[in-house]
Amino acid sequence: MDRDISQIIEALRSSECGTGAFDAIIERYSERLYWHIRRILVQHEASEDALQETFVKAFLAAKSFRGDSEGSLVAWLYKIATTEAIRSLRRRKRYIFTSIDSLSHQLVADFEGEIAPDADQITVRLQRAVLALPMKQKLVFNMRYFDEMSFNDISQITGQSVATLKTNYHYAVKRVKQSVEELEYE
Amino acid sequence: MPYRISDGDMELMKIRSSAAVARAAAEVKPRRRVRWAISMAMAVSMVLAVVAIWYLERPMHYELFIEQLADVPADVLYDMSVDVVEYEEDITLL
Repeated sequence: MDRDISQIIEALRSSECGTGAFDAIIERYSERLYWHIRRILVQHEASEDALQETFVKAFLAAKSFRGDSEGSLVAWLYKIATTEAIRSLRRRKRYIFTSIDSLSHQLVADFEGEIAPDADQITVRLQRAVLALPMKQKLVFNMRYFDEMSFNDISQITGQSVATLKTNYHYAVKRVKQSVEELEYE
Repeated sequence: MPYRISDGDMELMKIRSSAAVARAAAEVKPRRRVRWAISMAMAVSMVLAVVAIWYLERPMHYELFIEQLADVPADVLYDMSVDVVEYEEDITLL
C-alpha cells in the first residue's frame, strides 16, 4: 500500500491522476493532516469533515501541483488543509464582520469536552494556551512546535514572509509560556 | 495529543476520505465529458460558420459566369450588349 513517494508525485502530476495514487496519499498523510486540522478546529467531527474536504480539493486540483519533492507535496497538502480548517471556522462565526480570533473562547470551551481521559495535564494546559492565541500565531506555533516544520515550509503554506512568521512565533511562544504559568498558579 | 479519539477513528477516516475522493472522481468524469462535447460542438459550429461566410462572400468565378452565359440565346446576349453600350454612352454624355 505504501507506494514510493516519487511514484506518488509522478502519478499526481500526470494528466490523469487516478484514485489509486490518491489512496496512497490518504494513507500516508491522513494522520498528520488530521492533527493539524484538529488543533485548529478542536472538534473531531468538524476536523474529519475538513480532512475529507482537503483530500477532495487536493484530488480535484492535482493538476495544479508543481512540486517535485515530498516537502513540496506536504506543504501543498497543508496549505489546502489550513484553508479548509479556516473556512470551517468562518462558518462557525456568528457575525460576518467579526474576526475568527473571536472564536478563541469558544474553541477553548469546546476543548474541555474533547480532552482524552488519560491526557497529560501539561499538554492539556499547553493546548489551552495555544487555543487562546490569535490565528496567525496559532498556525505558526502549531506547525513549528508540533509538526517541527521549517519557517520556509510554513512560509509556503501560509504565504507570509519568514520574518513575519518568526515574529509571530516569538510572540506566540511568549504568550504560551505566560498562559501556561498563569494556568499553573490557578 | 490531549484530544479524545478512538482507536478505529483514524482508519475509519482514511476509508471515508478515500470514498469521498472516489465520489468526487466519479462526479468529475461525466462533467468533463459534457464540457468536451460542448467545446467540440462550439468548434464545429465555428468552422461551419467560417465556411458559410466564405461561400456566400466568395467572388463570382469568371468561368462560371461564362458557363452561365453559354445557356443564354444569342439575340438576348446581343440585346444585353447593346444595353450596356447605350448605358456607357449615356454616362459619357453626362
